[in-house]
Amino acid sequence: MIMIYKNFLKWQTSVQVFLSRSLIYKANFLAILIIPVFVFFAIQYSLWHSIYSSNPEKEIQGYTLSRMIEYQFWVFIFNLFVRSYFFSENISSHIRLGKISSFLLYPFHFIAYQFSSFISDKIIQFTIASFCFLIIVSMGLVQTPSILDILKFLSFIFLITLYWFFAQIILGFFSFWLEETWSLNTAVRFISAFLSGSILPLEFFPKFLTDLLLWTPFPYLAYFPVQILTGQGGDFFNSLFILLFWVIFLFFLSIKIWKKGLNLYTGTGM
Amino acid sequence: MRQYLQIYKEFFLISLAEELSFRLNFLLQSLMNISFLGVYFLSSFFIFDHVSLIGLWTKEQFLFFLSFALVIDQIHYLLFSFNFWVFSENIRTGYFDFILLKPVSSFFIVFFKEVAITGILTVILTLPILIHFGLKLELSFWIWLSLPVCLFFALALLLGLEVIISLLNFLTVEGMGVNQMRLQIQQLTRWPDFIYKKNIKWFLFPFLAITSIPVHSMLDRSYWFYFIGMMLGVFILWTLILFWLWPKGTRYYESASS
Repeated sequence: MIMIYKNFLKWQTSVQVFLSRSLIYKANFLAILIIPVFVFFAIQYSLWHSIYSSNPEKEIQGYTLSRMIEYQFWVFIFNLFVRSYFFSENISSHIRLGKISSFLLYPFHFIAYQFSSFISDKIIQFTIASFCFLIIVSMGLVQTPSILDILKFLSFIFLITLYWFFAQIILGFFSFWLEETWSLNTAVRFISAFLSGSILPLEFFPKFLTDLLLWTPFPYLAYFPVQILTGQGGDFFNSLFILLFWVIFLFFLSIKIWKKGLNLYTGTGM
Repeated sequence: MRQYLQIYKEFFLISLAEELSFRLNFLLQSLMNISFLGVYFLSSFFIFDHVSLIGLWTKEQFLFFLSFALVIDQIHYLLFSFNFWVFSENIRTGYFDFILLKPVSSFFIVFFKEVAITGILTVILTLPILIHFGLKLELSFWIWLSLPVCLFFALALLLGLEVIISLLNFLTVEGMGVNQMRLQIQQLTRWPDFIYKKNIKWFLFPFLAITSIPVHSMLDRSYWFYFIGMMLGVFILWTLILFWLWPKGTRYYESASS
């Protein structure tokens, strides 16, 4: 019991330290967190209005203008919940500059320390996203989803958050082999945003590509959770199970890469 | 002028040597740039598989616009983008002190020092795409002749607006947010002005003008009047930056190291 309490204290303190660190430069933090999501939404909103300008009632791949705009609103909320910023670059700089040496001696694992940093960012993100969610629903900009759909959506969000945590630390751990990882991280973000349906709903993709994507984690990282909120969600448990499989896969992969990388670690800067 | 060209040649050679010493990074940055281009082009292709027009533009007109915007992006990436990140880092760490002491213009060192050599590959990739869609639109000889001028002024306007935003680095401690704002401007320039509603369009006018005015002018002669206005605006903007805003900004600089 005492062990659990002591561990809890370590986590609590780390999360608090990271929270206050994130909130020191509030404007900076908000500019990183909110502006890109708003700009992305503004572009998508305007673009689809322009595409449907000749006939708003027209159906394109099953989407009328109002359904497409609803989809984009939910993508906006979804991005506020899950987008991660520069997390893998923090890990990468820890490795490159030899800062992980001290973590090898601390009674708090490096991954746990990074996870507490991730949690603190997510606390702020979840607060902002929930606030925007309430505004959008209360203004009637989207149809109010049922409590059950919100719960399904949140379970996706939980797993997607974990997915991105492990994906980001794996990208960061590549610093054991690479000089820089930011370009790899950026490429992964571009490709994921596209293939997950954040930019375009998957109905717009060629059929062979959509079929192929179902074997990858991408559709479960945006398209499926967003469809749940629009009331078009497919087999919830099946999708959740596939996503869970990918989370577990990335978890084991991250541990494997960490162990392999640590064998190469020379402690630069010690 | 000759002295500055010689210094720039040295900057270029140093960047080249740096890139060549980390070849895998070169590959990864190329992968990043190509995936970036791929996402934009594939998204547009997938949309045009189901619609024939976006606003008033056909597929060829829209893709000509997109290629123009992406050529600007890639030239910007090649010649300038890294400098903005290094600039905010230099302000934060106090390294800007040393730049101020050097016997050449601090503006030149700050915005011209880093060259992202990887960008050469994607500039080479995007230019033929622009030419391809230009040929599909059967642009006249005079329009082809004006293309480099349009690219130059679009890039000059983008760079000028980004410099103004990055001057905020003198007032802030952490520059990541400022750089994010800059990146969002680039996002806006990749879409034509007509997709935005009138009030938003006026609010975003300087940013949308970067790519929309030159491309509209190339596709429709009646827009040349706006392009001349844009050229004038660019001259005024750069005069303001070089003779007023930059010197004023450096006076706000509080050295972090001293």
